[in-house]
Amino acid sequence: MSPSLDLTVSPERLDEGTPEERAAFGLFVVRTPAQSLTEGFDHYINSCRSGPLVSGYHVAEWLAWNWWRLRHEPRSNAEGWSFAHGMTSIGEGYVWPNLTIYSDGVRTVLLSRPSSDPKAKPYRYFGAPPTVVSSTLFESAVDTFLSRIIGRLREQGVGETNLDRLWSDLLIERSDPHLAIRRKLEALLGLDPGEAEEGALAGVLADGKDLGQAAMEEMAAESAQANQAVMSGEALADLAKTHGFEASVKDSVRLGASWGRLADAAKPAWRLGAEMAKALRDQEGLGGAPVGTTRLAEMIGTRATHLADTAALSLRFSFCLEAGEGPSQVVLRSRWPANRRFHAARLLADRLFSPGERLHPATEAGTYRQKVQRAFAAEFLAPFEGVEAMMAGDFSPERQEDVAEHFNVSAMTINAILKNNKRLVPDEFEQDF
Amino acid sequence: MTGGKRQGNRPDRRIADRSFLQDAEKTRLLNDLVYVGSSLHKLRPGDYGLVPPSNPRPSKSACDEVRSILISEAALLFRRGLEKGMVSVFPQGGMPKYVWAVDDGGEVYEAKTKPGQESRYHGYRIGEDEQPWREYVLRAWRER
Repeated sequence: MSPSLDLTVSPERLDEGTPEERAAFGLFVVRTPAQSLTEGFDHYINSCRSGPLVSGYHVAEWLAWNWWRLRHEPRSNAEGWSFAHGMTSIGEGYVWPNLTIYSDGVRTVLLSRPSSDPKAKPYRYFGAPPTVVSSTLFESAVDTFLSRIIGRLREQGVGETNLDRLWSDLLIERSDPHLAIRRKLEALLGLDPGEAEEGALAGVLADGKDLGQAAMEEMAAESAQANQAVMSGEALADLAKTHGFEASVKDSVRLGASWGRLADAAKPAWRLGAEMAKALRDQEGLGGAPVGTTRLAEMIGTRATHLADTAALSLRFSFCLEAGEGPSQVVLRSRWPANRRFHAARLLADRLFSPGERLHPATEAGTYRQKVQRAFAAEFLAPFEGVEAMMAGDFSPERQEDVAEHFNVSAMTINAILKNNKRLVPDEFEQDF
Repeated sequence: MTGGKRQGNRPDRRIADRSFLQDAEKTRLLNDLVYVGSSLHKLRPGDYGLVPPSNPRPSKSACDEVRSILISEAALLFRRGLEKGMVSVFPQGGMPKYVWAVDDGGEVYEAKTKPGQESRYHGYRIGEDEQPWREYVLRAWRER
């Protein structure tokens, strides 16, 4: 992970354009100590540059408007996502860096891709390996950039602009806890600031008070991925009553007090999840052996028959709903035994990682929390050391299936473990940063 | 700032809903707006009569990176964009910041106002690196 990130505009002269565009025009560079994310070939000077000649004003407006989504919204296939996360969408006629920025809430990724046309004019971007920074560092780099651009506008005698108003709005939103939580929820819902209906936000916030605010944020991120409304606490309770099975929280396994389970920006979620799984395996004396369904069920405080139940259920996610002293209700979305085991392990991870909340969702959102769950479940059910030993250098799909059968997980789980541990090359967007 | 609304405006590069541009407004735009081009976006200046003909120092998208486009074709594309209501949202009686159009070969173009001369527009091609934008404009173009 990079220790610093700088966004700069070195002033250059522009002969036409609005006053703000001209005041903030120059060489735009995004860089870390290790690399420039904006480097490319300038057709007009027939030479390389560390960045394009563009106006920093438009970059600043885009960053200020999209700040909440850049800071909190995970990667998604939802329509419109790329407009808020891809710098090429800034428009204004410039050839912007092909830079995509998104966060899992803890860590922010900056993906700089090369220009697709090898003869692109007037500026051909080289692209760069993915840059990962803590989301707080990204925040600070953007704050510094916005302040510099506003400073430049004043220095050049440009009066109040739309950027000043956006920046002022953003500072108010960030400093007001009441507004900040709404903006964050909107971002997780894949919406621009002010786009969400107040009633819908109020419902999510009310459920958050009862079930856990962070849990409802996960539900918001899930709903954006699925392009559906956030499921209410009442609907979840109904679903649990109809399709759930009981699990006793007081009988479920716990990690020793010495285990530090906090999210850590220096650590990818998959690594934290894997470490948590190893710690639990060690604590429970499991060695490298597969975890039987009976043992797994005991660990979440229920019976093995519940994990083997194959009734079909059309649901996008699994969840556990705790009820104080009484038994919890668990709903598993899949009818396939290996997937039910995997989702049960994810819910176990969530209880360990996010104790104190009543709702534990296992969704498809790309948040740090969900990535911890998935990595935990994979490592807990199929420890990497054992997987690698069984593969014996043969990473073929057939061998992956054999290993999956041994550990009673899906072949996809084995594939993900091999990619996380760099035994197979992940696709760009499959990499779990 | 009151409630959830912001005082600052979104840098608005979105296509207005189909119902946004009423017939009278459309007629006004077709009469008042003119495509003039910009030397900042020209690799091949053609017959635009720009002075200087080409002034491409900033990293501006070229309208003619793929092929030369003479002013008559550019102006026609601009009018087609207006006729289809492919404009960004603007206040009543004002001018759209952006107008979009697609040529017969499926290339996507964006026209933008000239600063200080809000009824005069220049355009550029939306390249391959803006694929989501190309698809967004193409979809709206096909639907209208």
